[in-house]
Amino acid sequence: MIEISTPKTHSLQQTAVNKDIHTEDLNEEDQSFYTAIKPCLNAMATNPSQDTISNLVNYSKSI
Amino acid sequence: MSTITIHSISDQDLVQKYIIGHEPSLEELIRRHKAKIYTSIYLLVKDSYLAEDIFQETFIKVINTLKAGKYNEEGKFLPWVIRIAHNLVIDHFRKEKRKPVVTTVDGFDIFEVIKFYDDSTEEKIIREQTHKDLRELIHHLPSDQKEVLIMRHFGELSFKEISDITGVSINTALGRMRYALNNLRKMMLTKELSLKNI
Repeated sequence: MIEISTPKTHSLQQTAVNKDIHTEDLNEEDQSFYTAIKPCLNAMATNPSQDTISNLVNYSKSI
Repeated sequence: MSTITIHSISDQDLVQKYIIGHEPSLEELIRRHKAKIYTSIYLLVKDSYLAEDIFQETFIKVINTLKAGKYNEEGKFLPWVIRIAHNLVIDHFRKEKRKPVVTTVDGFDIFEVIKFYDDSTEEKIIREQTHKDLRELIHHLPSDQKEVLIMRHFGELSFKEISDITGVSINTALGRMRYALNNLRKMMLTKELSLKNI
């Protein structure tokens, strides 16, 4: 029978990766509050003027 | 026959097309991300004219970098642009020799144009007032917390990307987000703002 074992170093690396992924999460209470205020945050979104965008497009074409 | 439109092309592909001379790709990239980038800048500087200037300066750097063939393909486009914008905001405050501070908005508030046609007048007024109050609370957050909240929400950046841009660890970036949310929650309680009105 062939026994397959996971090298200890690999296991440690995997733990470190999982820890990094875990630390990217907000806890449930924070996430719930964040979700609740998202509509307000979204309503704050606004755009630059069309003139600014036209200036950029023209600048790009000029160089 | 292929029906692929420019709107369905990925950022990376648009960047590549632009680099080889396809100008409409730049317009699409700007159209796609302008609100996220402009709002991120505006919320940090709290001045619409200055935000326009920094937005323009940001994209001039983007254009120059792409046309010079210096763009790092490994990075995602939006985080890269947010990083440039963030650095320009920092440069601005350094030049002004002051940090982003919280001031009361005087004069015209660009966000007042938000309309809620489906609500009753009373609901609309309450909701608009709640949004206005919450915006003010966000401006009262410490600058490092406000910065993370803006990058996370409007820039759609991961905490890893935020940590790279701001030069702190992932846990510090995450901690700042948690503090920001916690502070907002406390301030809302103090101001008796209700989430149900959002």
